[in-house]
Order: sequence, then C-alpha cells, then structure tokens
Amino acid sequence: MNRREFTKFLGMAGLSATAALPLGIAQAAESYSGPFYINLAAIGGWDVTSFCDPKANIAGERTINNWADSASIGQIGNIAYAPVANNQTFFERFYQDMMVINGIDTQTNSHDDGRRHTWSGRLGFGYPSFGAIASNAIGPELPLSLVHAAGYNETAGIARFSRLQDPDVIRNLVNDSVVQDGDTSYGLFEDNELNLISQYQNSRLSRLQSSNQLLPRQIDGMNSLQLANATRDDLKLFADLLPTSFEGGRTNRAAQLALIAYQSGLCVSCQLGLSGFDTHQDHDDDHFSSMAELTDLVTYIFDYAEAAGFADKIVITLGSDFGRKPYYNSGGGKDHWPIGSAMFIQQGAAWGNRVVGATDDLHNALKINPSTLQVDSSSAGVGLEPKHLQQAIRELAGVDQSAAALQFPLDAEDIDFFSPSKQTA
Amino acid sequence: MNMKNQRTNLAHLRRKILACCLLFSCFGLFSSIASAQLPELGSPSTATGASTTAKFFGGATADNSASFGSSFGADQALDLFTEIQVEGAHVNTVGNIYLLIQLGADIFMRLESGEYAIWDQTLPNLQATLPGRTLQASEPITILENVAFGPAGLAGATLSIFLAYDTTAATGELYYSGVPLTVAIDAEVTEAASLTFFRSNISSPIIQSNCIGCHVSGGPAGGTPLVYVSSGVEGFQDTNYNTLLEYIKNVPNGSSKILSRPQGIGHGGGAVLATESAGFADWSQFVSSVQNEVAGNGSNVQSIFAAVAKMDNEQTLRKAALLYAGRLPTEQESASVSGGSEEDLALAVRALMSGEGFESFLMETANDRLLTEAFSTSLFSIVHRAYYPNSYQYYQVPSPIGSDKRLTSEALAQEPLRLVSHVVTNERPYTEVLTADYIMVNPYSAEVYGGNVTFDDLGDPDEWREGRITEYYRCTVCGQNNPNASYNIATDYPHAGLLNSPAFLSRFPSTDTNRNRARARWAYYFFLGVDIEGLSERTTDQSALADENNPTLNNENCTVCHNIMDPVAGAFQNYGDEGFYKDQPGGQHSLPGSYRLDSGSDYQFGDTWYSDMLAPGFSGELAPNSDNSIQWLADKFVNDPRFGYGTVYFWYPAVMGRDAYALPENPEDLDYESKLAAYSTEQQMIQDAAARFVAGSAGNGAHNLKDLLVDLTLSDHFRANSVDAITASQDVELDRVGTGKLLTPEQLNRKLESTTGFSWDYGSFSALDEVYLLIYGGIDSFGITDRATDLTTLMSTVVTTMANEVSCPITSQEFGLSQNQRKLFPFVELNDLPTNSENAIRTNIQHLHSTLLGEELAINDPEIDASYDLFAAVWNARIAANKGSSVVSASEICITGNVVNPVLTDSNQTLRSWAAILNYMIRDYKFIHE
Repeated sequence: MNRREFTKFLGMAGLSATAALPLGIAQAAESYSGPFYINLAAIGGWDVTSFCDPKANIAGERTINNWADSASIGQIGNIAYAPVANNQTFFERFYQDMMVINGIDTQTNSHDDGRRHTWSGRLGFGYPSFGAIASNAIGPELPLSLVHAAGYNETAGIARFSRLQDPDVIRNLVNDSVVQDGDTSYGLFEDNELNLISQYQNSRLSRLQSSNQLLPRQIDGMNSLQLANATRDDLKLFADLLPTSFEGGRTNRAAQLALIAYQSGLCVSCQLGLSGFDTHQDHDDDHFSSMAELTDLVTYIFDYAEAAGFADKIVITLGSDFGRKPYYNSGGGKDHWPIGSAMFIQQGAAWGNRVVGATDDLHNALKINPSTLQVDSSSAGVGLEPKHLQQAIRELAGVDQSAAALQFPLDAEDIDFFSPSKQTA
Repeated sequence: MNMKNQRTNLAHLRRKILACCLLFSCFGLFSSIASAQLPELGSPSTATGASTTAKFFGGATADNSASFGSSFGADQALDLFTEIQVEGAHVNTVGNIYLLIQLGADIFMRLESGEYAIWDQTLPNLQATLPGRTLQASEPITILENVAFGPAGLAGATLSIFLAYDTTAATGELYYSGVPLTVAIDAEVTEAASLTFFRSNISSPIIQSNCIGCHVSGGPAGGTPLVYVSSGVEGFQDTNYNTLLEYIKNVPNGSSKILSRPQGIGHGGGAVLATESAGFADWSQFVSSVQNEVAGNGSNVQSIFAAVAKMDNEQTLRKAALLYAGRLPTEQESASVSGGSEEDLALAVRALMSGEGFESFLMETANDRLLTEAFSTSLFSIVHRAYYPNSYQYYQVPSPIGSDKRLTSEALAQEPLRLVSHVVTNERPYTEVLTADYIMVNPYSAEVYGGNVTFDDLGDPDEWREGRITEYYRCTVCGQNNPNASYNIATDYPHAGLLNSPAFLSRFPSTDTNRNRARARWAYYFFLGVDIEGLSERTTDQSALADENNPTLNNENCTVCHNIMDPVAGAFQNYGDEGFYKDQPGGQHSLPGSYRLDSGSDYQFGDTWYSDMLAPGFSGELAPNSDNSIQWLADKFVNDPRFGYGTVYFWYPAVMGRDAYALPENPEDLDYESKLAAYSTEQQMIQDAAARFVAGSAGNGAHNLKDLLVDLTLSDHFRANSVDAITASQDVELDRVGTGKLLTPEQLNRKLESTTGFSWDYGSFSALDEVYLLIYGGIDSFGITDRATDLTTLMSTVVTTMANEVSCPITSQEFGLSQNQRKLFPFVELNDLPTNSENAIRTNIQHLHSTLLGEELAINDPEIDASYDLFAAVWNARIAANKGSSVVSASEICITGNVVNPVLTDSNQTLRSWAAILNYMIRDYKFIHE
C-alpha cells in the first residue's frame, strides 16, 4: 500500500487540479563522507578451512575437506584460499585490499555466545557492536548513523540502529506532510501551521526534559525524540537517492539500502548478515553455496560503491560466530569449532595482501608474537581472540580512544596488525 | 519535635510505641527491689536551673544486679532499676513522678495508664507516670525485669531513661536526672542467608564430601585459591564459607568459575557434581545467594527504589488499561482505585483482563516468543498435503487476503497463540498451555485438522474452539515423489499443548544431526526460563572439543549442556525434522534414514530414539513410554520448580517493555555493583512473583496468569515514575525501569483508536499494524524477531505522518457528533473562539491533556497555557489569512474517507485550529510512550 493507493481509496479526484505543495525545507545535514564501516556476518559459523584458512587433508587423520582430495590450496599474493565456491574470483579481486586474520579463538561453540564475542569483543553480555561505537563516536547526530539488517545488534544504549525495509514506504514517510496522487502532492496542513506545531512541540519537549526527576528510560526516550525532531528532514537526502527499483534478494537489498544511506551522508556503519552457514548436514553443498553468496555480496558492495564513486571509503569486516570442525560428522555436515577467522577489506589499504595469525594443520589456533606477528609458542605469544579483532577495527577507525570505546574496554594486547611489512609466515 | 514531624513519622512512631509498650509493660514500683548499689546518674537538674540536692540512680543489669552496665546483647534479658532520692524538704509532700524514655529523636512519656505517648518537650504537656503521690525519701522504681530488647524490635537501639519529679512544695519546678540511664542494645547479628544455606546444604554434603580430598593444604589442589579446612578444625564452616566468599567476590568471573568447576570444566578433579543433581542445584543457589549479598553490600539492593516515586493508583490503572485492554479506563474504573488500597488497584487491573484488547495483548506477547505468525501466509510451512490430506485443496492455489487459503494459513499459524489466549482468558491454570489434550481450531483450521468440531458460523475465523487433530495420516510408504507412497495410517494425534503444536514444531524445526536439540533448547527457554546456551562458561581449549568419541555424550565440555538438553530432545522423539508425528515409513518413529541406514549406527528395529544419545527424559528421570514421552515431559515441566520462573520470564518483556536483565559477569566493570544490584533486585521480584503465581496466592487458583500479570503491574519495576536527584549508580540501577516505554506499533494503534475513536487505515490495511509495522519497530516473526525499543529518526516519521494524517479527520469526526458523544471535544463547539470562549477552550485543552497524554493539569498550568497559545496562534493566523470555510482546500486536505459523518466546513477556523492541537499532542512524547 502506498500513498497513491491511499489517495485513490479516499477519492481525491476532485482535487487533482491543485498545485503541488511545498514539502518543507530539508535542513542542511552535516553530511558524513568518511569511511563506511560495513560489518558483514556469516551467520551460523563459517568453515574457514574452505575459505581463508584452507586445510589439506592429513594422512591418517579424518578428512578435513572433501575438496582437498582432488584439489590443491589456492594462493594469490600472500593469501591462501580454498578453491571452492567463488573463492578464486573473490580472492583474485580483493587480495591486495584484504587482511586475513586466522586462528581467532572465540572460546565457545554456542551461536549466541560466538556472535556476541565476535562482534563485541567480549564473551559476556553487554558490550556494543563496533558499529554502535563508531556511530556514537563519529556521527551520533546522523539519523541513519547505524543501520542494522542482521546479526549482532547490541548497542548498549550508546547508539540507535535503524532498520531499512520497504523503500517505497520509507519514501512516503519521509514526505510526512503531504499525500501524493500521481504526480500531484497535497499538503495536510499549511506550512506555517506545521512550523508552529514543531516549534511548540520542541518547546514542550524541552520543558519535559528540564525536569530533574526523570528516570533514565524517560531521559533516553526524550533524547531520542529530540534527535529525531532535529534530524527528520535530513532523511529526505536519503529518500531522494532511492531508486525506482531495488535488488531482489533480501541481503543484497539490505546492502543496497545501507549503501544509499551512506551515500546520502547519513550513515557511518551498518551490520549486514547472511544466514546459511550452520551446516550440520550436507556441509559442502550448502556451505559453499552460502560462501558464494557471501563473496558475491562483497563484490556487489564494491561494485555499487565504485559506480557511485566511493569504493575507497568502504571498510568491510567479515566474521562469523566461530568456525566449523575440521572433519565431517555422520551426516556429511560439520559441527561447531571455536577457531575461526576474520577479514578486513579496504580498497588500496597499505595493510592489504597480508595474513595475521595462524592455525596448525588440524586447525588448532597458534599463538603469535604481538610485535613480529610470527608464530610464537613462548610465553610472549598471544592467542588471538575476538577482542583483538575488535580492538583492531576500533584503531583502524580511529575511535579506540573515544568515550564510547573507553566505556567498553577490551583489555586486549597491542598487536601490530596494520604494519604493512609484517605478517604471520 | 513539632507536630508536622509527628504526623510524618506517625507510622514509624507507632511501631516504636508498640515496642515500648511491650517492653515496659512490667513497669512497677517495688520498694524492696532497688539496689543500694545502683549507679548514681549525674547532673541532677531543675527546670529553672536552680541547684538541687535530689539524687537519681539507675542501672541496667543482666546478672541479677551483680554488675551494672550500659551495653548489652539483643538477646540478653535485662533488669532496669531506678531510684529517686527527693530533696529532704520534699519528703511527704504531694508530687508527681515522671518517667521518660528517649529513643532516637523521640521522647516517650509513660502515662499513668501504662501507655506511652510522644512528649512534645513542653512542660504543660508533660504527663506523670505516678501522679499525686506522697513523695518518700527514696522512690525506687523497677522499670522492667528479665526482658530482652532484641525480640521487642529494639536491637541496635539506644535508650535514654530520664527520671523526674515535681512537688507542690515548689510549684513550677521540675527535678530531673540531667544524665539519663543509658542502655545500648547491640544490633542483632543476622547471619547471612548464604552462610545459613552453606551450613545446611553445602558444607557437609559438598565441601566435606567432595572437595576436601584435594582442596586442602598439602592436597592436590592445595595451591589453588580454594583451600578448605576439614570438619575437625574449630570454626571450619565459617572458614570455608569465607574462602568461597572471597573467591566469588575477588576472583574475576569468580561466580562463573565456581559454578563451572564442579561440573568438571577447567577442573583438574573432573566433574564432581552432575549438572542435573540436587547438589549442583544447591551449589548454584548458594552462589546466587552470595552474589545477591555481595551486591547488597556494594549498592543497597533493597533501596534502589528508595528515591523513586511510583505512579499513583489512577496513573497505574491508566497504563495497565492501555497495556492489557487497549483502552483508557472508564471513569468508574478510575474512581474505584482513587485513593484506594493496593488491593483495590489489583482488583481493578485484573478486571481489565478480558475482551478483544486483552486477547490481542496475549497473542502478541505469545508470538513475540513463539513466532508462529511467521507462517500466517504459508500454511504448507506447517502442514503437508500428504500427512494432512485435507490441505491438498489448497496446494498450488493462490491465497489472496480473505481467501479460504489465507484464512486457513492464519488459523494454523495462530493456533498456539490461541491456546495461550484460551487458557488465560478462561482462568485455566497456565500449566494447560503444555498439558492441553486438545488443539484450538476455528472453522478454517478444522477443515485441515478435522476433529468433528461444531461451529456456530463456519465462515467466522474468530470462532475458536477446542478440538483435536483427527485428519493426520502417517505413511506406510513415504515420499511425495515415490509412486508407491501411501499415507494411510489414521492417527489420533496425541496432544501436548504447545509442545507438539504443529505450528510450534514447524517454527522450530530440527535436522538429522540437530536431533530435536533446538526444540529442547527453546522449550527450556520458553517454559522454564533456562537458557541452556548460557549455562556454562565455555572451553577455551579447542583440543577439548576435538575428540571424536561421541563428545556430546562423553566430553565434559559438551555434556555440561547436552546432559540437560539431549534427554528433553529425546522427549520430542516422535516428531520429525519438520514436526510431523512418526513421519518415517511404517509410522512407528521419526528416526531419519541417515541414522537408521548408517552402517556405523547401533540402530535396531523398534528403536524410537538414537542409541548414541542420552535416553529421553528430564532431570535425571527417564521417560517411561516412548509413545507419550512429550506428554510426560509436559507434566514434568509444569511440575518443575522453574516453571513459575519461566512463566514470569516469558511474560516479563510484554509488561516491562524490555527483557529481564542479564547477570552482569565481569566484576571489573566500573558499574558492576550497580548492575548487580539492579539484577538482584529484579531477580528477587521475579522469584517472588513466580512463587505467588505457583502458589495461587491471589486466591484464584495456582498458575493463574492474570494474577501474575497483576503482580508484575503492581511492582516497583512497572510503577516507578520519577526519581529525586538521580546519582550515577542509580542511573544504572534504574536503567529502563518504570514508565516511559515506547509503545509498540500495535499498542500505539490501539491507543490511537481508543482515545480518538479513529482507525488509521489505508483501505483494508492498518497503517500501524501492517503498513508501517516493521518501520516502527515491529517484528515479522521471521527475519525480524526483536522489537525496537528506542525511537529512531526513521521511526519518528511514522509518528509525524500519523499526526499529520489523522488529526484533521479525527477533529472532523468529533464535531460531527453531539457534544456528549465526543471523546475529545466535549467542552467546546466550533463557534467557541479565543475571543469569546477562552475558558471553554482551556477546559477542553485540559481534557485533551488528560485523555491523550495522561496529564492531570490545573487550568492555569503552563502546559495548558502553551497548548492554548498554539491554538490561538493557529487560529489568528488563519483569520489573518482569511482562510475559506472548507476544511479541504488546495493547500490543505483533510482525509475524511474513514469518517462516517465528517464536518467539512470550518467557517470559524476552529476545526483546523483544533486539528493543529491534536497534531501537536499525537506527536508528543507522552502519546507514543507509556
């Protein structure tokens, strides 16, 4: 149901000759054009031994990967990959722009715990996603500062995420004071009256906020409304960029809308996710299909951004709940495994074409030296955990010293992730 | 002390006076008892300041006058003796003797009647204990004998006892003991509940039986922080308790670790307490108790609401009415609680729980958990044309809105939600949601499920009745693509409430390797409040998960959860991956071919469950019969001590607008103590509510959900409304407590309709319930299953769109009604102008603030002034612009398509001015929050 159907229903034909009404003047937004932080989750636990931490089979051990019986591990630049799904195309295109982090120990085989750990840096409850921290630190006033489509959505009260569904509905809502009949717009109130209403509403809200007896929840609610009132008109910038047709798939559409939100200067970060990785049965067919979707989605994001001229602003963090066991179960599936990987992708990044962290042939995590990044089994070695991943992205975004980040300290060892000259051998 | 304070502290004083009366009831004059060795009380004084030779003596003794002291234990029985030696000139004169006891800031005087009364410290109001007495040289007075103060409620108190007399020989003078007899009573040493529990349930059966072998000095675990002493050591219980206390308090994640160690996780001694054992339950309770007490010491658990003001009865009733009934309370309902008691309020809240609005509340809440509405457009996500042949008529048939297929889909998806609604609205025990030996059907679902149910109207999708599934057929030869497939085994479906509802089972499907574990997980979560995934700290060592010897059965890192989960998964043994009953060939079981035909499995003909998993059961008990294991499980669940807690947990978010707090886990967090205090306070409330729910304390039978909802509604967590000078810790402790919940789209829709009488629809679509449902934070029960609880800018466009679109038609609708029929404008007509009817306009604005925003304001309140100013400003602008007389013009339309008898003329420009006021209020913070 859109406004056109709406007005038809109400029988507005008699007014069709009237002129379009002014829509209200959009306030000039403090447009954001910095890096766009996309957090992309492979929901369910991905098999990185068939992706960025490829494993061949070991004589005398159970089969880790069926594909390894007939194919060799691929290599492009410094990055090894499994020659399944669309991996070759993906790695060949992005290897120079990516850092692979292998051997991340999520310390859990529980989905909820793994999701929380990977995307917040803490196994326990209560820590926000990186997107929420970036939103708070970089663009708290932006109306679509944090967009959420799937995956971990904890904001810990420091940010509010927006869900972008039906774009036609959004387009109509943004023009909240008019109804549309064909190409003709009709105002619902005189502009001066709407201005008066807004003015009086803001004054009243200020009076309510001035009370020193408010509960925290009331304060939050009033602040949310105040921010919404101040930034509502900015949404027109987003609506104006909405195309007439959209991507068909649910995930691609979510990515498209998030990209448009960034393109409109209103968005700092988004959380996207793709399900289908929890392949306890028929692992190879199902998992590789999901993996292809995932890599295709990354490709789509960069294709879109390149066409729109902001590919150099995209920063993607790829991650998952955890990994999958380095052998098959009786149903041809792979069960949960706490060791996984993650990946940063940024066009032209000096830290690209590198691998940090390592696992052994049976996909057990190995410690690395935080300075040299070499495997280090001594007491100086550090086992990589999600907190290191989250600390790294905080540093990359320059928000690690923000109030939001400091409110949720990660207590992670300082690992020299981004030094172009170092990687784990 | 002034009278104002006396009134303020009346209740407190009553308690004190009661204590005094009880304590000093043995007061008497016993001339032979007082001891000559009584200590003299210093500084004998007079009211005029003149010197006196009178002497005063007093002493308190716990050993029959062998010694006198000033400080005693709460349980010590005391004697209090006093003596007045009057001035020689006063002997044999008539006078009065006074006894005064100071307790805190209050001074009580002993009256002749034996009662005590507050003395306001003015001489004219001083009353004598022994009036009109012929004074003797020595006036010995025994105040009490052999009485302990603690049991009288005076533990921790300090009493100061003054003696005085006056005499006709010196009119206007008062002689008194300048220094009182002071008696300090020790505070009662209340043993921590956790210590008491430790003594009874932990020390001997666990520490001394399981731990002491290693965790002792010189033992294998002697180097760990947990080193105990044996029972031969004096004070061993206190010592060991303190060891545990320090560990929980000071070791990072100590609580979590101390729970996981006995299960064998990270424990060199392996598992010593089975997760399902009573011992582990006691261990968990002990740790929880310590946590609560630790939180209480850091930030007073009992006082997080100390600075919080609650909504009064009428305000509470308004919130409850909107929540449960989807409407405002009637005047009669409000009057029934105004100035009334908590009991009055409870009755009124409970009375709201009926009708369509309440059913909507129940079904929305149930769906927020069960999510079966995800299939409301896809009946074949729930049933299959082969197993349910009556559904075949809808196979590959379109399902437009209102079609039989769509209505059938909706009925199948709603079925478990209707069961919840049916049980609750009919005041059945809530246990029936699991034990119901029936399924809810309407004419459309009955067409698929059968059951020979008789309906009044076969076309009415709202006619729901109890029925049974009789049209389900198992297969002798299975497979829809098998030319020999035969689904011919008639089945009398064995119902077990929600647990084997086809919609529930299909919404939480399984796989050949998941083996019903997801169903077990959700059953635990929904009905017992147990989140299996959160039960234990997980392994940090991947090698611990690398074994291949059936780890879910044998690896302690896995069994910590699987021992709990897998038997319950087994109880679902008769339901296949898609939820169909005994769906495998022959119709005798649901074991998939991937298991049965696996040469490595131990499958034997006749098996109904996996041999490499724990047997079907629950809590250490085996299900006795594979045919009815799900019914057996339902019975076990509803009789489990956690069922009450699980029920509270299920309904809590709907009442409070948020999930219950998670246990804070990291003591190093800066706000850990405050979070723990908030968590502990809430858990205590939940546990109390659960206990009352299970016991049926409200008198309406055990497990009455309405009573539970009333309980939650009357809680501080629901009624908190304001706070004085909030501190940083309170900011955490009161996080998301009380009023100010953002209404869900469905709730906002009901509020709009009930307060204005207007439905915001686009054709047959509800704007809030359907068109803008997801944008405004609702769920689709499929991909989006969490409601948004914070308003975003995008969501706010729904509010402004609503305000812009509905305010004019509502106003037009209202003025089309007679004045006494109107909800919003009963005090004005359209010819009431700012120039001639300011009072009427203000009165109506006052009414709008009350109706729409829940504000009861004086007519001259600044908010009324502001609203009136807006009205006048809009009106003046319209007059100045010489606006036409139609509410619809080229530049402003009023969408009155949904209005029966709209007023479309506005010659006085007041209709549009009132519409502006409605617009202002509908987009207000208090309209969209409750």
